[in-house]
Amino acid sequence: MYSRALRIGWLLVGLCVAWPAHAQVWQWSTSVPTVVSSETKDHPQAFLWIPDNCRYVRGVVVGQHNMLEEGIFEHPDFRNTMRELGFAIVWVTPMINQTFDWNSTATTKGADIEFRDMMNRLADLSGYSELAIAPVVPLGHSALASYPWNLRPGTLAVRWPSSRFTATPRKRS
Amino acid sequence: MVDPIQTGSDRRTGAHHRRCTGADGDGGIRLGRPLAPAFAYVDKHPKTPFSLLADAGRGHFDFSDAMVRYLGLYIRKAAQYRLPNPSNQSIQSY
Repeated sequence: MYSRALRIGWLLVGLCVAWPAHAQVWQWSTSVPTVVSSETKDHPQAFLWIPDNCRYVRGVVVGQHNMLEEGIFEHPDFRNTMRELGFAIVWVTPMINQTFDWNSTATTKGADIEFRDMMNRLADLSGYSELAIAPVVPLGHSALASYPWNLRPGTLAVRWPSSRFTATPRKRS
Repeated sequence: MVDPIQTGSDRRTGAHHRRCTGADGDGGIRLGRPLAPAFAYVDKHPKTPFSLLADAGRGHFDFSDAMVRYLGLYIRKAAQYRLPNPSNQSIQSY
């Protein structure tokens, strides 16, 4: 009996030690009031990570919650690369707009309004005002891979579907 | 992760399509449909730098360390060739 309790105790200690090693920091978050999610009937929450050594945000990778985006954004190798580039990462959950139709519909105000609302709020909140104008790398997986294709207007710089990912670094208008 | 494919002059052709989907022998039909918008986009914007990567051997719901590193490499290259030099950042506008 004692041995079993001891094993469980050590297991819990191990989990407590190991879990923080996988956790990643998102320094800021804000709701996106221009959107009401059909999933939660509430406003989505946008999370922002900026490298701790970043003096000026050169670009921002933006992904919406579908399946793999969060794991990629929290992957240590991905974070290290973004740190070297001076790139921020934004992840929003639930998604704010699946297809990123820039025109308003019965259920959305239009992706342009929703996206700018999210980015402006994060820029104000973080103090990194350049976030509002930083070049965007939209990244999406599977059903959310359409959104990088439709992120416009502006000059499309690079377009990349890999398997069912798309990532599109582009200038902001 | 195998066989990263850089598109060339044949990127809008069916030959490219077959190269991208031929790894599992029967993927052409299933993968061809989702890729159609990509080729349509390249037709419309022929100067767009464009690449395809087949992450063969993995499922739709997971990712590998190698794939994450490839994503990072792609963004690094895009930043290198498309963004201003960091040393000039304060005087650049987009």
